[in-house]
Amino acid sequence: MGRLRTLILKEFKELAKERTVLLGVIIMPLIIFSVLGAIQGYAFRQMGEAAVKPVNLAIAPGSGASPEDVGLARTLAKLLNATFLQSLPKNGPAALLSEGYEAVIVVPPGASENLTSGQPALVQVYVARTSPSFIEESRVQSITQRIEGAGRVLLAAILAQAIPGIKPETIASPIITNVTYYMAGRPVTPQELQGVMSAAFFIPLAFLIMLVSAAQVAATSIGLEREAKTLEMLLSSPISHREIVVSKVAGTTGVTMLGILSFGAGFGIYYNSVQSALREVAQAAGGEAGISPVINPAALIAIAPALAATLYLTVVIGLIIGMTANDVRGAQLAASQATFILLLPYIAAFMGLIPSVTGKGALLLADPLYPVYQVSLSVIMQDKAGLAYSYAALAGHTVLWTLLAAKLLSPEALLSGYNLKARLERLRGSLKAPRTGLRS
Amino acid sequence: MAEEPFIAASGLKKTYPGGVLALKGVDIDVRGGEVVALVGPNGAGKTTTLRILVGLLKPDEGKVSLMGLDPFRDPVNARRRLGYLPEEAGVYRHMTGEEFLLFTARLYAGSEAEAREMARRGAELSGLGDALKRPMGTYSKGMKRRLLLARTLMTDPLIVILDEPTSGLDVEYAVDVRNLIREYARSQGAAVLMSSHNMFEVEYVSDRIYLISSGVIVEQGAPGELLERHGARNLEEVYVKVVRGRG
Repeated sequence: MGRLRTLILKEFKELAKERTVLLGVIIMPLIIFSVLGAIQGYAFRQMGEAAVKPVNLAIAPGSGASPEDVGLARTLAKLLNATFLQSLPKNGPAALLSEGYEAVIVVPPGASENLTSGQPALVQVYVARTSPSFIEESRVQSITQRIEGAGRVLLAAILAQAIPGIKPETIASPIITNVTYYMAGRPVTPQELQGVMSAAFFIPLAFLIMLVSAAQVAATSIGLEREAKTLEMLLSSPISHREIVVSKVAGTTGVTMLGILSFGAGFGIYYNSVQSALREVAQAAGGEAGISPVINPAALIAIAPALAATLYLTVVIGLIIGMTANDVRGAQLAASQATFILLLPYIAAFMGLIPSVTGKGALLLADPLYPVYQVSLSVIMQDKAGLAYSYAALAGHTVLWTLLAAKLLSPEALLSGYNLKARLERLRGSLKAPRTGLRS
Repeated sequence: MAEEPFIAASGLKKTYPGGVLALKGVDIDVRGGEVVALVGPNGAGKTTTLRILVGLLKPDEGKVSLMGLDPFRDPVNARRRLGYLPEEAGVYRHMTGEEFLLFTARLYAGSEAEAREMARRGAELSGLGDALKRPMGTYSKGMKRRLLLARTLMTDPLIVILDEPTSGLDVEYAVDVRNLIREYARSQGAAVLMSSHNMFEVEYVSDRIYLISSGVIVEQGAPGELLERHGARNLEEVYVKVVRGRG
């Protein structure tokens, strides 16, 4: 036990001090998510402010407008708190926009007639855009929404005069919906659904980052030893091969956990920044907070074993992949490529591109990193059958990869690595070699 | 009755994947207190032989015994008596020399006090002084070699296997190392097997020599015997005669 502890500590310290691991896995998630949260929170606040801020509008009837059209323009100006102009200046809306108006609304001839004949009134809006940003887009959208809103209020007011007793808000939204969704045979409210969708987005995202980090750290562990040529001496020490492999798995997992903690802290900061910004924006607009809470302790307990097993699998795969390179950079590159391939089905499933049961079943069997995604989805959707077969697939992969690791991480393999290029060349050579008996 | 050899290998054969025939039946034995050199051209099978003796490479055929223990069946106990310095050994770049010696000592020692004493002895053997407090990534090739040799001997092994021990060392320290190897074998009664390309070093240090070429031991004996047998003035002449004679 003492020797194993010594080996694990050595593994942990060497990896944690490695610049690429320290920066890429431990420090960067904290910095990136904190900065991202601050930026996104600021952007949401700006977008919220832009949506409710008073807008400097001008309204004018178009050339040849009827007295009814002029009346409609005047009423809209009153409702929108805009400046009413009898007519457009000589240079048209551009002149008004250059005078400082944010938008110019022109009520063309025939707009009021359209309303009385049952068609919508087409109102021309000219908007001054200052940038292609999302905040600016939010401001521009709010202008058209305000005009359409004013139209509904206007219509409601007219109808309220014609039909005594009717409430304007009833006319503005005559039908409202109350939807109950069914998922895995049980009813889910829209609020719950929002939580489920958030969980289905954020949990796989967290897994993705975690698994990529774990594979990188594991490959680095082998890359460091192979680059520094330290394995031969270590292997000749009075320690068992199993102790070496276990210490590599444990040390790598420990450093990955530091990365996960950093990711968790960074993501917490991000989530809080965005959540508080959305809450502020929603409150300013008279509504309630944005993202629903997504993670409950029971769900985490159900997912935790799958996550631990997948972390183990990723570390083992990362160690094996690390053996294909002779240095740290090569090992990290190989790990990136391999995890990208293994996570492709994950991304496809995440985007809803693998709807069939057969497709999901095939992926559960073929891809060791896929079952954890299916486990998390089954937990989120409370699908017990899905949870059972996903865990069964994960157990199978765990046994299979443990046996493979015992074979592929043998002392001889650790010493010489896998030269995939040489193996492929040998294979190509043997295929090209002339076969005896075929030539005369 | 003759004393049992500490290192005994017989009929070692090894073919690498791809069909490279590295060893074609090698027999080697080294007794306690003896320094034996394994010499031969590049690619002759020296490193393969040493790796098999340490238990790192499995031979296709043949047997290995380290003080009666099979390094493949009982690797942990067999390696407890072994100090091995590979030819291309490196160091952990983030560890200091001191930390490295203590780390290694903890793998061999039964208690923390014993490990600290081993590491202290290693520090003394390395002669690196204050440099031991620096990360090993800052060491020169010679400093690394000195530290690794100290690491090999600080555990008081009864079997010492050294692959090119003075490679990369300056002349002054190479002389010290040769003296240390001879003295260590005599004082500890240890069996030392070393490979080298330096015939002067081999003549100075070793009691017996194995000359290997193309995976076969082609000549063996004490330096004096070999000189006499081949009518040569030095071991370089013996080496050239034997190797070219086979070529």
